[in-house]
Amino acid sequence: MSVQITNGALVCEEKVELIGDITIGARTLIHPSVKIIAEAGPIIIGENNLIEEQTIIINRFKEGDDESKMKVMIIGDNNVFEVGTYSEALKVGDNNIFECKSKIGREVTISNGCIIGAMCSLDTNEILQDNTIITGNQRRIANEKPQSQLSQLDFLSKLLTNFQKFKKTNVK
Amino acid sequence: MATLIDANKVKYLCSCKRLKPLSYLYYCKYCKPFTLKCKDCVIHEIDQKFFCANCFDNKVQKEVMSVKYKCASCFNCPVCKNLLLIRASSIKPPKDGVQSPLAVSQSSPALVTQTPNASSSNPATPQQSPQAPQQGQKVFYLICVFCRWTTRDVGIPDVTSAPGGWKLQENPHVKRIQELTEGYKVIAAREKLEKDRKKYPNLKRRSLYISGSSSSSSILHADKYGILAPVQKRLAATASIGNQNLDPQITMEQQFRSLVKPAQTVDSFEELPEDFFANPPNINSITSINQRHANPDFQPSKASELYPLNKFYQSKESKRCSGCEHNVLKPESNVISIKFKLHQMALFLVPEVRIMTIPKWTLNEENEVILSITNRYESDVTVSFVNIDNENVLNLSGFKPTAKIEFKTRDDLSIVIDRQDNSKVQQAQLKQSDLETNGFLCFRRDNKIAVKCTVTPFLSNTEIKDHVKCVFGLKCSINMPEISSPQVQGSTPTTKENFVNSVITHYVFVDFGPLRLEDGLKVVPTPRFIDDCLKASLNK
Amino acid sequence: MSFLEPFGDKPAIIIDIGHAYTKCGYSAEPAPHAIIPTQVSQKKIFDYKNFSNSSDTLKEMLIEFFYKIYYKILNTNSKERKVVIVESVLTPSEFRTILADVLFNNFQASSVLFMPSHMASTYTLGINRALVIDIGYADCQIMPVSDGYSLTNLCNFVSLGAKEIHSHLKDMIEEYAFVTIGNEKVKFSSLANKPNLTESILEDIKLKCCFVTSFDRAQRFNDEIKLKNLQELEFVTDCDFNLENLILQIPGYVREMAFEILFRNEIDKEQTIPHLILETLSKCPIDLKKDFASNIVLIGGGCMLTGFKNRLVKEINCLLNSPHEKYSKIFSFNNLNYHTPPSHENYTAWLGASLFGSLEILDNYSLHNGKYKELDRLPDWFSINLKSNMVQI
Repeated sequence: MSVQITNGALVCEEKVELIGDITIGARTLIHPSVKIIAEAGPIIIGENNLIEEQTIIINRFKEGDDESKMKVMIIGDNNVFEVGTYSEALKVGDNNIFECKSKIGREVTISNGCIIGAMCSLDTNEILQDNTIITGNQRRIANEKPQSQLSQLDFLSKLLTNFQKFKKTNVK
Repeated sequence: MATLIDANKVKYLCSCKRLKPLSYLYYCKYCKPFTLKCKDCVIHEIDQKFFCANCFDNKVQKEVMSVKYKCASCFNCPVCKNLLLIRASSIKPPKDGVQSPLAVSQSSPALVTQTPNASSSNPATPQQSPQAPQQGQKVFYLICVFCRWTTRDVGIPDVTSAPGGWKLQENPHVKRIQELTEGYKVIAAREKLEKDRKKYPNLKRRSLYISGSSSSSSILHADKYGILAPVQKRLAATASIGNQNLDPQITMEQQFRSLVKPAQTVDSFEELPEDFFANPPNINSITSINQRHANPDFQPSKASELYPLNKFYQSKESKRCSGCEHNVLKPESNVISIKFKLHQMALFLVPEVRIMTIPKWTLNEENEVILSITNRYESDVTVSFVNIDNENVLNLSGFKPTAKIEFKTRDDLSIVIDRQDNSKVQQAQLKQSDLETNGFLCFRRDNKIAVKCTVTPFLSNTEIKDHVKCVFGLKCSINMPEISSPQVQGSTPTTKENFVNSVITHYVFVDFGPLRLEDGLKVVPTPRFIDDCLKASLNK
Repeated sequence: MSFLEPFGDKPAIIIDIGHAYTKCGYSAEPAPHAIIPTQVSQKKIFDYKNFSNSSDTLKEMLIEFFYKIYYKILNTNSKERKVVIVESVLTPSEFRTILADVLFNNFQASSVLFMPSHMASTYTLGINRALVIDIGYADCQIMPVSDGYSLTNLCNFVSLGAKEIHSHLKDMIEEYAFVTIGNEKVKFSSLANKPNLTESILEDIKLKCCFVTSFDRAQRFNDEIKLKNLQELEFVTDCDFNLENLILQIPGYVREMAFEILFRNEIDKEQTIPHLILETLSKCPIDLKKDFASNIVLIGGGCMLTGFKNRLVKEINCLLNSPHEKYSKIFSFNNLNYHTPPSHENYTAWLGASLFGSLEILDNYSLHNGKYKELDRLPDWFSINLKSNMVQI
């Protein structure tokens, strides 16, 4: 069993696909119909992340990559993946927000406090500065990191227990 | 949705000889016979009531002009031009003196919804205090929910009362411009006076007379109703300016100079700072041209200089027929309502033609095409089809057909299209009379029919990328309530409505798209339901 | 009816139709209400000759454009409104004729005043003699204005405007800019399906990355460029620009030298802005020369480029003081004096018209609807007598 769900994390049963070597940190909440696929190396997801419906997080080889070299995908803490996000990014820091239907390529490094706006796609080879906000075709650097979604996470974890079955946690 | 999105495929000939999609046309029921009017041939009128589209605060034109059409309490984001929302946060007591007193609790931001009156009369709203916000007091700032720009980003201080309270930016040149205006006004008045004096030698005395001895002036006596007040004001103003400045010894130049300080010149401009060359650029901190132009007074070039943009007051627009000055479109005067008092869209009168199938075109041969016709009028409409060879129509409209459309049926065939009847669910079914058209009429349901016609493109091979365009006449016969002229209507109100049958021929211009189907364009085959409809009717 | 209206209740509409952006607003305001692109459904109006479609004729486009200005932006009834159009004296008469037709017949303007942009800008300063330099989108125009007359016989113009800068910048990017794909640096021009560098993208690059470099640096680079490789020169650091899914690396060379075409011309040395200014000045009547030299007015969006004004002044001073140039012999002065109008450069002409439009005598100089219909044509502006006591200040 390569999927490791830390105690306190809530991973819904319904239509959630977890394939490959995946570690999910404490208090991370994964909604139904989320796909997390670790093809080209393990995926490590930190704490207090909120991963909403139809999000796809894939660690996979790009065309022309050397398939013998596995790379670890690390997602930090306090990130929010809103509905329909598609992320291949290998490094995601803390406190980032991926708005609905945003699409992130493998070579992008998301640092901390970034917001990727709804429907924005990012497929460059770059390291995003801290607190970058991308909306439409504009970007700017905010003064402070976005507001944390902890209260939303608390609320959801209470609410979802009434309606959803969760996968069993297997790591303390 | 083809009515709105692919509107440019089928166009109708407007009475001004322009070709417009049906959804862009209006009709005038007073001009006989029901002329179509497009946006460019109606008279537009701005309603005198201005309102802010966000808070629905409304003002008359004069008030709006004095605030430069800007709403004081609603703002748009200077980065992305979306609406800024007011967000409240309470001030946290400083912790160990490390955190600044303005640090706020991020955990529970309450969104203050901007309802028209609630927020201003809300007793809970703290009053603006001259001192810095107290501990535990609520402060407000503006945030864009789309791009997350906040007024805090550019260091605009939070306010303690919402809405409003945000300081408006003021053009730094206003004073100088006012000075110039004053100077020019005096000279202009003097020039006008001199000119007028040449024309009417007595004018000066008369105008002085009015301003000087108001009570005995005969004009004032006559002005019982105050209609001449503005004229008097103007005359008085001119006279007084002229009066004090009419010393012929002083030249205009001297007079102007006495009022306006001479403009200063410089012999060099600021250098770019040295660190400009040394430091790597931060292109995210430079604004785009649109962000600059959104604020013409300031045109901020750095992101740190952006300032919330006031929302502009707007106004509703009514439209009149240019021929008879009757309204063809009139919105309700209540600013919150989105309804119309009068809404004479051509869509509600003229049957709408849409393209149903697009064949693989063969040059100079007959291609079968199906068109659908929808009736949105409140009663049944009888239509017949007219093949057009009339050069006049084409010359007037500047339309160059590249194909010939033919309706292979009896010349006198007319088809009734039912009115929309929501009370009963209709099957797609042809009537007995429809079957006699030999498949010309191939579909009928509710208020919609479909007819078969043939289109012969006559393009040469070199024009193969050109569009297949053709024109035909749609003769409609409808029952309209009789409109008596307004005077008669006023004197003798009729209880019974008379219906008059009127026949109008609309010219319909159809663009089937390019002859060669490329770039993802596809043949649109005959839909199944048409065959089903035909079969069902034949079996019956 | 208008006779009974209180004075000033219906301010005149002031519209300055530029080749790229149109400034529109009400008279007596310190700045335009809005600055919008001179476009109708993404098509530039001034490109009207390139459109063949029947709905894209100049008249149809202008109707659409003015409808937008009147009803969507200014929220004003067009009927019985006074209008002031700010225009360059070089506007083709075809354009003016159609413009007047649209304003008088389609929008029922009560009167229209066509105001030459150069003259209008002098109103913002309260001066009556000036050498006005307008760096716009299509070209750079240099026009001496005296006592209300634009001295057209002395006017000089050269197609050095934003349009030229954009096409030059495009060439430079194609040649020198890089993108990083994987770990490789690839020339932008060698990309298989490279994104199209549209005018708005170029404008964005121009604003965010490029600047007019200082006089000293430009001198140094221009000397060194002949001797050394580009790589050896110490330009400013490169700059990354996000272009769709690419990161376009714009070298310091492009950033600093993109605007050099305004100041250097290898083929014809005289066809640069500083040269033309002095050339125009040297042709002015001898008694006005001194007045013009001490009253230079810089207008047009081009003057707002970072570092432009400083550079222009230095270039002119260099020409004036250099013993190799003819100008040091012609002129007795060794620098010029520049005005700073109470506005941003791109709407200076608009502001002048706004000031003039707020005056009561506007009527005396405007062409009235009745008169227009009587004449059935538009008098050329040379034949309109704009001479007023006003401008004899």
